[in-house]
Amino acid sequence: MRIERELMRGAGPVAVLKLLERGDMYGYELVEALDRQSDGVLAMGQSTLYPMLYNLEAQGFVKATWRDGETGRQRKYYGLTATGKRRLAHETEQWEALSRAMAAIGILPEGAGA
Amino acid sequence: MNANAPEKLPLAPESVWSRLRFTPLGDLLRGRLTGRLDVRRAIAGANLPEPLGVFVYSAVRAARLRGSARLSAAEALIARVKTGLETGHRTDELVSSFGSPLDVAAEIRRERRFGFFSRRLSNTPLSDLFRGRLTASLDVEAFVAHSNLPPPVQTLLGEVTRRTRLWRSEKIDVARELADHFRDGLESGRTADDLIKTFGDRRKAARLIRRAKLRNRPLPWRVWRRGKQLVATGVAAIIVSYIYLAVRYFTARPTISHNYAADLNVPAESLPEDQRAWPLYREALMRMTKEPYYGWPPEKLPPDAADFYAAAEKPGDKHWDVVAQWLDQNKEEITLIRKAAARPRLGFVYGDPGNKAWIEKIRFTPKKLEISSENPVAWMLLPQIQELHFIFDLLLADAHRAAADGDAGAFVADIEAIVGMASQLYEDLPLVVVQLNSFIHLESGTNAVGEALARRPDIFKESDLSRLAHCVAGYAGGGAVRCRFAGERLIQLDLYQRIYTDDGRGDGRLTPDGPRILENEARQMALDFQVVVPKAAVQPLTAALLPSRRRMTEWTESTFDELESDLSRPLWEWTRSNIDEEFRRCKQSPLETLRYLPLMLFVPRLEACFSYRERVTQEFDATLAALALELQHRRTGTWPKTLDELVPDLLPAVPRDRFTGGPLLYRVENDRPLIYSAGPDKKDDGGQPVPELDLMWMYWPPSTDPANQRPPDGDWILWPPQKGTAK
Repeated sequence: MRIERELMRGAGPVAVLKLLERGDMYGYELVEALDRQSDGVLAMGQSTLYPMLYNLEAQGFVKATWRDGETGRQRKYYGLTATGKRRLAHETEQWEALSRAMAAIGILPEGAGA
Repeated sequence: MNANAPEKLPLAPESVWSRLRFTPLGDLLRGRLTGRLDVRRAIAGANLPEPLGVFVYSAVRAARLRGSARLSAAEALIARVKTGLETGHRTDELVSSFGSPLDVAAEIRRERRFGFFSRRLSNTPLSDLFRGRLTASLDVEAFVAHSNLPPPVQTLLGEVTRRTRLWRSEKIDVARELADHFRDGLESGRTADDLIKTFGDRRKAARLIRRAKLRNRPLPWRVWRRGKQLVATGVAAIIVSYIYLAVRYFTARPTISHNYAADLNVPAESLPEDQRAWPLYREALMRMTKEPYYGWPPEKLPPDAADFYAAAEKPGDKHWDVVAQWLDQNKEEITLIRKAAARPRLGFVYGDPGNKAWIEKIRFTPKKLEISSENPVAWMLLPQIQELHFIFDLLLADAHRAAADGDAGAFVADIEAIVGMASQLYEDLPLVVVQLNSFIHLESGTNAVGEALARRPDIFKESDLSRLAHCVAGYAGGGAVRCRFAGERLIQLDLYQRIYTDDGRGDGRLTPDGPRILENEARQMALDFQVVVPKAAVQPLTAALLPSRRRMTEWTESTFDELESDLSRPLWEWTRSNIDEEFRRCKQSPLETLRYLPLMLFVPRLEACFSYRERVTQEFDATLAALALELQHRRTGTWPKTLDELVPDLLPAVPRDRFTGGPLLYRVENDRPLIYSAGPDKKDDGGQPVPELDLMWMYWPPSTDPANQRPPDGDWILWPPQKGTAK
């Protein structure tokens, strides 16, 4: 299922921040993880992912570093910053509130926002 | 393979000429004819399978290189082919994996470009250069070409990074990251086509990457960029605004919808024929002999002619015999003029066919005296006013002769005619210049009365004196003399319809005719301020700064209302007008001058109107007082002690001193009366005259010139007349 652009614009960054909460990741990893963990709902191409990462970097939520990967090849890893963590917490709260509201009016099933 | 490619590898010719052609200069200098630059020789020496040899030769030939560069390219390609063979690839696999010879030729040329020193230098970061290394690590094109990614992916990578238009360091960063992404994808088993398909829109990706990367740039750069954008936006806005203003301005056209000159002509046109003085004046002018030397060019005048006008005013003067002869020649005309002056109005009608012969006589172009909306009211010619001066000169000279001859009847008749003519002018065209002419005639008439009364009182009977008093007092209907600007208002409205557009609701904007007309008018007028009319290219901007037609009209009406109100005050209540102050302020600024130029050009000078009105009023009052004194003296045999004694039998009230507002000053010395004003110092100096009464003292104390802060001592002697005062 394709998510509407406006919804994706709000959900995409918070999903990326959430993935990075577990540890530093590089671009391809993120694409794969988003696709896999969201059953393709949050799948995004490079044309969306990389500008989003650069924006998060500009806002100070993530920090990028080039370093050797597991295969020995250099990769650009993205890690969550302290600001990014605070932002993620804030965004999570908002999404939870939204989910509760959506559940309360019957758009999401009961308990979805709990 | 290319259609032009040979089927077999051609053999290197063994002729001396051929070997010479392909031998490096170094070998030649050593005396060796090696021919080793011939790629055919190198390919043959590599022992490649025939199709691969042909492929290498075709690709190198298509790369259009020369000499050692060509040989190096061939050797590099031979090495790649050999590596392929050594790793177990078949000949046909290798040929198909390379693509066409033309693709390989393009690659060879590109690789060669990557090696250029200037390119490597410009793509090396400064930090590397400082370390003495020419890394060319910022060469995105080279990076993509050497990325070992499939060509379609390389193309995508190259296109996206190129389209981002970022700094080279940023581009290389993006290219590296995207290349890694593709590599990861390929390594995970996805195909190049699949990766390209899921990449998304290239243009959009480049645009978003650029936007995001710019946000990552340093703050000073972003501030500078924002500033640049603001400046560019500002400049663009200015250019667009200018274009809008220019189109709006240069397409604007005035609409001349009202004939204001015709409005000025209406009062005269509506007068019955028998009430118009002008037809009689015109008849007299057609018949009368002009003044001696009239119309002579200055260089043809007799040497003493200049004295004539100064010295022929009264009998006994140097040229009086010439004047007397002139008066004798015009006796009948004087009678006719007196008859004309008794009529209530001047009644000069522009466009009157009756004026045709007169216009021809004064050598005027009839068209110039037509009432046409083509001609601005400001250009309206007044030849009748000039011509009335000849009549006035004749009457004044006749009055002087009558006084000298003791002919009181003729004197009174002449003065009545002069005052009547002055009244006609006062009531005629409501233009300041016409009113000033009326004041001039009245002043000369009252001065002639004062002089005759002082020199030859004996010639007048009481009835003559009464007649003179009544005629002088009856000037302009007997009321206070006022300055009126109705004509000037029409000149302004007429000007506005020529320089502004007309929206049909009393408003409009400046047209290109405006600056042209204003500049032309300013050039022809003796202005006391400088007018700088902008060049055509700047006019749309200045036009936007100028008040609209409605604003200008409203300002004109309020200005003239205020002017008339200010000028209605007597001298003793005079303060500098707000309008005067406002104009002074405008004149100090070229922009303000330009903004209000349409009004400032034609607004009459306050000093001229006011000072002349005040002077004439004072002299007029003094003449009436002198006549009353003479009558009282005849009746009682003595001079009254104060002017109050003349009220109410001979004067309705004691005239006011225009400087102080108090009663006009009067004293009797040696049995001779003296009527005078306190003058600019506002002090009674016992009738001691101011040596040279400068009219500017009329404005005391408004003068701001420190040198003129102290008014001169002395009084303004009004009667009997004294030479050298108050003119």
